[in-house]
Amino acid sequence: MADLTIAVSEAVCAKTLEVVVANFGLDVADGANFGGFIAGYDGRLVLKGGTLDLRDDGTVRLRELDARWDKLDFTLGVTMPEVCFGGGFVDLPLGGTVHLPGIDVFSGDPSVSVTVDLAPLVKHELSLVASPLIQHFDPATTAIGKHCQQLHTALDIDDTKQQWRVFCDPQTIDLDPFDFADTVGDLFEQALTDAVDALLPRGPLHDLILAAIGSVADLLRTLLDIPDDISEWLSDLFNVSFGVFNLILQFVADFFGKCVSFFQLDDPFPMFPKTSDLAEVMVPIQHLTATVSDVELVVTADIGAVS
Amino acid sequence: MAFTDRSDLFAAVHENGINATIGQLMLQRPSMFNYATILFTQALSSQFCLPIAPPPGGGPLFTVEPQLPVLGAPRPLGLDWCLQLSNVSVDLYPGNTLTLPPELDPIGSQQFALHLRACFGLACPNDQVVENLTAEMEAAVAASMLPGRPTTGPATGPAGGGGVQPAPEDRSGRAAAVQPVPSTNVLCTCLELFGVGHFQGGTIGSDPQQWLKVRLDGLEVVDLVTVPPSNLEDIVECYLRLVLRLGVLPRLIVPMQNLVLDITRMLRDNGTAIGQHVTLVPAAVSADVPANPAVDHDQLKVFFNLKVD
Amino acid sequence: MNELRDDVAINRALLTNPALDSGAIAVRGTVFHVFREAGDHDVTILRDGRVTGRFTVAVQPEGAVPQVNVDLAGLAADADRSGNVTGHYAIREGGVMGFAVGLGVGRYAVVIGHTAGGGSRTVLDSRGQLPAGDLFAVTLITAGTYRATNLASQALLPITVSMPGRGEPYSPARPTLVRAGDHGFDPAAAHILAGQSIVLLAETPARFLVAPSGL
Repeated sequence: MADLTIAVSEAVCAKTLEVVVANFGLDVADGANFGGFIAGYDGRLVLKGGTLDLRDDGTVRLRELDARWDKLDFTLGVTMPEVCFGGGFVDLPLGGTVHLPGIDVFSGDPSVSVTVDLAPLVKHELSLVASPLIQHFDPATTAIGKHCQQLHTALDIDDTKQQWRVFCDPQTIDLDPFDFADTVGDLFEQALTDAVDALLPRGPLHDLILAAIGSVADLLRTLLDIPDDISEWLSDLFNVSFGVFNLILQFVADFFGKCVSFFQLDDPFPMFPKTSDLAEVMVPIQHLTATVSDVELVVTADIGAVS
Repeated sequence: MAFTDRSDLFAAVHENGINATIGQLMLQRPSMFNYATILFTQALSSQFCLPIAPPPGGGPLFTVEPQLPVLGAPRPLGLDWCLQLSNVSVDLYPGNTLTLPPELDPIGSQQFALHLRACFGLACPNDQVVENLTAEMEAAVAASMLPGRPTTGPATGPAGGGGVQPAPEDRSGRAAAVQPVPSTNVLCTCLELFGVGHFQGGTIGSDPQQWLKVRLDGLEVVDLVTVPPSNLEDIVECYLRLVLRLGVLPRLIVPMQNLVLDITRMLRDNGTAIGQHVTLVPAAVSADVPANPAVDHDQLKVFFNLKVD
Repeated sequence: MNELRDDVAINRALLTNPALDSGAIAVRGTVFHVFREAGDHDVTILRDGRVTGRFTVAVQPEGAVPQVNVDLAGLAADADRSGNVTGHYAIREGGVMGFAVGLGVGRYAVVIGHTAGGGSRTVLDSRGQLPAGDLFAVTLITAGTYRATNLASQALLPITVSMPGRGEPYSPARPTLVRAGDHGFDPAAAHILAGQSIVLLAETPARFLVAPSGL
């Protein structure tokens, strides 16, 4: 029989999940030149909610976690097409056609950039099935990344001493891909209209130039070479071109499976605290195991004998 | 039936684990189990009844105690001595590894049996040393009798009588320094002790921290054979019981959450991240949890609930 | 949350509304010359009365392009110290060369000489009258009423320029042709949308001046 048996109920595991999830934060930013336009994003993804189930097959299921963007600033830079006054063709009465040279409205390199906040327009639902994973953390040999260290500092997990750490290591992750709401098209049209509008001088020329540019919606489609559905285009951009979907998947796997453990047990464990005249008594913890049933997580261990 | 059917958290420490912990305790805090006079750091360092291994992290080998007074000596004389507790082991209910003396057997539900060995050593001087000291003592007494010579102590006792002979003082009125009686020969004797006790959980003072406390219910010395009305065994048991209850066991209080290896520390420390204050509280004694901590099936068990507000 | 960045400058010439004179070509005005005879032609560019560039045009019976448009301001900037412009132009006989000004406040004139047979015969001096068959196009930006005058005949053409209606389809590239002959302008009045052009065809030698009615 093991020297030590510790059982943690599903309710305590669920409460621990709340704390873990509250500290989930993924910061991502990237940009690319797609030829006709430049696009970039800068966002922070957080998790909210979710339920935890312990299962008879020894796994832990985290369900219905909302992955939401605290901010998702998307910047689009487009080169304005040439806008001309005048121009056109006239047919001469005695035959022949004369082509009139147009007058360029913009001089200099015409480009416009807008940044919109897409955060309210997309969210993902995350579920995963995990198995308990035991790690014996040794600060001398176990590597942890800088982002993990920051999370550990925020959670007061001490990376300077040896510990047993119990992770919920994801075996399967189910994450909704990017699916922007239809209203994102209106958002872009309005943003671009406002951007072009701000370029133009006040006065009679303003409305005339806008009329010459035509519908901003069409302009957007022409400049970006996108089909009718801007929300679908944007979703593809994030899912595929920028690869943010895969980034999130990888981060979730690392966060739960390698970075933030649900439980940490110091090894050796300071069983008797230090007093003013006596040193603390450290007890070695060995052979740690963790098993899951449908109601509890059970950790067993042995206490190292004096050698 | 699940461990957490009656509480949010459960921990059970098998008596093997407790004994392993006691082993670590004795190794890392030898001064809790070894008491001696200062000379045992010097001339008598190799004369302990039982050798003491230095603790791995450094620290004292034993607790320094005053010398044993030679009663009545005209000038204070002290004898060097040591007391060492060893071979400590515990047997949780139902007791099946320790054979208790009939006075303690059997242990009751929720109790544990305890065994330890107590060795006492006295540095006994040889005859030559005693002869030399005798001459000094006689000289001290004679000097106090001669007229005109300063007395060695007050002629009066406490005001109002009381009938006591106070300890010797020097001329300035301070208590005289104890003169050690030199000896290089420590006589040792060991007694086997058995005890029964129980565990108790609760607070200490006004601090809300919950502690696991060890209570001694009875102690028997098995090597002394005395016939009533001789009370030597009782006297020795009384003294050793006091040493254990007042000296050793109070230093063995353990924060209750250490029995679950403080497994919910991260959760408790970060409750503010979820806008909640999370604490661990022992489950109240009830029909579901008749004892907390509980001892049965060779295990010490504790039950906790998570309190969220 | 929107952020806007301004990398663009508006063509300053659009911000003013001076009169447009075929004798002093400026932004928004273009002179078109029809090369009726084959052979080499010398083109001299003048800006504010001073020669700023020269080039030759080879007019060919066939095989060359029917029209070339040149930017007089651009050419003047490209000319070397002796005023020669690199580049050789070839146009089909009967073809058209358009002389426009892309940017700036300069006023330009063009003098074209036909150099066949060793001499030089002036076929166009835009400081004077445009020969019959040549054209003067003006692009009017500001809404209002204008008057085009043929200084050779004193004929007048009222022009109304109005803003395009909101939501209505609008294309600036829809010029309107007006013929200027002995009997005046035909049609007698013109209506265009702001940003569009009026093309005045000189059926007889003419010099055109287009100005807002208030001027």
